[in-house]
Amino acid sequence: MKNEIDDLLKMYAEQFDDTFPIKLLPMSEDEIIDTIRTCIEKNEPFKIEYDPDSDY
Amino acid sequence: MGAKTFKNILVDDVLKFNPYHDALGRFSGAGGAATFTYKPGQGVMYDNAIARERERSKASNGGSIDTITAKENLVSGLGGTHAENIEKVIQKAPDFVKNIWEKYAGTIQIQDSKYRGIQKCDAEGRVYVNIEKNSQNTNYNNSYETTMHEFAHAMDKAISAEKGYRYSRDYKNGLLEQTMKKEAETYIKERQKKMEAESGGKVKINNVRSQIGKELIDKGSKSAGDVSDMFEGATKGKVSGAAGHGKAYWNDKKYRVTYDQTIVVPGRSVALEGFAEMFSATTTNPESLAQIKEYFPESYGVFKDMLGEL
Repeated sequence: MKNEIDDLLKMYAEQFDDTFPIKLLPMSEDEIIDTIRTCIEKNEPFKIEYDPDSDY
Repeated sequence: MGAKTFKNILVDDVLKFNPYHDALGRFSGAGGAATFTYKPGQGVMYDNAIARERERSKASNGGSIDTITAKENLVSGLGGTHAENIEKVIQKAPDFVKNIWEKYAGTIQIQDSKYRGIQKCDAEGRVYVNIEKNSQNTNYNNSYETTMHEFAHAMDKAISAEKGYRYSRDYKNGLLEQTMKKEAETYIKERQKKMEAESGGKVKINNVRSQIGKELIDKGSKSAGDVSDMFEGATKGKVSGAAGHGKAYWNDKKYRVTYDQTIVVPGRSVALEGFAEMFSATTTNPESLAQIKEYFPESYGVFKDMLGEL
């Protein structure tokens, strides 16, 4: 079922040609919505640094 | 020997079949039993006795048949409520999941249960999660879904340390990764043929990949988040769907398998994440599991075999 989050994820994917790591972030749904919106409005993809020796 | 008296029958034949008694032979309830003598299926008398005792215990426990015994390491790492909730999730899971859980969940180390960074399982197999956030049902995750994902990584590492090779990646010479890549590639090619038949001309592979990404996004992140990540990993980021680790994750050249410092892997293996996603979907997200079975049926079969063989 589509919802606001899914609409924002679609916009994020179209704008940055990449996926947003939604399942890994320790945030509430409202915080996630704010984060994706900020990325889209500022035209800056979410910055994420993965430790090469960890699994995410 | 003469005919049995009523007392003989009661003591020798009936009470003997009470499956619950302690080490001194005293009868007790299911919750307090020290020894479980009889298993179901050994005979009608045994089964009837077990059924009677279960009903009696159920009534005395306020309707709940099974007592939840959470893993001590999870109680100390996450708190009793979350550990018990997770145990309840496992009790509803298929036997091949219970199998890995009973053997390896006791090895899971919770390093941080209030983590504010990107949730993960580190090189030593220690888990960093935010259990309060993870316990919430949201529009993109079910309760404990990400926790189960990280637990799967931790158990994969524990199994790997025991076997001497990375279980998810190297089982049967990389069967899980090979199968995931094959299924993703087959799906892309079949979609290309379909699109070409519809348009009557050639369709570029990039357009096909883009179309599949849109299809996954339209299904929503809760149901298609896992298969999106599996496509993303299997194609090294060429197919991006509803949710995922992001393209950079699959092309990280520095990643290595740290239980064996001599192995350097060029880019992360989709088998590691596929293993974790199939585990979390099986335990917490039936909508996602349905999508996995639709897009990656053979891979899911390999996953089941992997857990069953432990």
